[in-house]
Amino acid sequence: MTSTNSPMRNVLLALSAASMVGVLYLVFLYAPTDKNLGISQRIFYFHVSMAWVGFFAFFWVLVGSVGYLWKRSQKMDRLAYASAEIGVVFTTLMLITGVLWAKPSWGIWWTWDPKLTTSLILWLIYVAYLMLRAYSPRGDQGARFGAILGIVGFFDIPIIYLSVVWWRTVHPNVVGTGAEGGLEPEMRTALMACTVAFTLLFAYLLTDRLSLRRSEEEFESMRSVASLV
Amino acid sequence: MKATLTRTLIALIVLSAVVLALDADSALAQQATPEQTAESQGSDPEANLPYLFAAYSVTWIGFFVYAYYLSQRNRALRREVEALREALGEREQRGGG
Repeated sequence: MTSTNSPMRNVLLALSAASMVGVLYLVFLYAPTDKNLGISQRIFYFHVSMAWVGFFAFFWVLVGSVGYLWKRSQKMDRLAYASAEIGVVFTTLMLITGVLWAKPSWGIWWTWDPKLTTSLILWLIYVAYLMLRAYSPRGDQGARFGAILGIVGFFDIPIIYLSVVWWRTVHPNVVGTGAEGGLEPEMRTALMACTVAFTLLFAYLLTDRLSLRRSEEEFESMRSVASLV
Repeated sequence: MKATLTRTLIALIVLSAVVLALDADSALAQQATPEQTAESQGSDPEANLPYLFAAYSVTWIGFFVYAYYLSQRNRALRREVEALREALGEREQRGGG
């Protein structure tokens, strides 16, 4: 009943490991060094990819939460919970790498810039989601509270994305078009490959966490049956 | 245990916010543009290598810690299942005897 290795999970692990080796080649040997930011610009590939995968994970929280409220399906709640946990891991690492990139680029570790602040708020919302799930009662009530927070929290993502358009910000619009957002083709290739590699890692972690969550739920129900016997 | 963890997490968040706010306030005035950064780096293209090293190290350590947490949780769950089975077996034996 505990989580075991399925062939699909092994394939995902092998694919993400192999793609990470390719990514390291692209990031360090293929992509050119940025003229203005120097060698520290290479942090960008991991930073942006982890941000993207974090948002992708929170999209699955939204899907799982809506699905749970609509169908009351345990599978959907499991998907929301597992995605939220992995999303928090990716967002935490995105914030830390952002801080480490800000210091050599801007001369400061942190600034209350709209994009940075809304990203920090996103992280706090999903940390709150995990805390809510840990402290609320097991079963429908906890899952319902979590689903509502999971849906509301997702609305921060378009705000983060559009913050560079709505407000004055020091954060570059690196993935857009135009003079500020233009990337050299080699840099764009490295960024795309990095995003694919991290998405594969996310898929692997998600299958692993889903399986563990299912085992935890089965164990809980087994324990409550045992207490009744 | 959970309460201690929560209190520690909240304290860390508040402390980080205060430190970051103080650091940002004092440094905002002397914030460097990318061009100034490039100038200050001058002829040494590897000036920021420690930041690059730190960012990649933190990323991999983060993922390994999370993978380790998952495997430990899995192992603990397996132990709990075994203990529950044993307890149930003993109860059945007592009930039968």
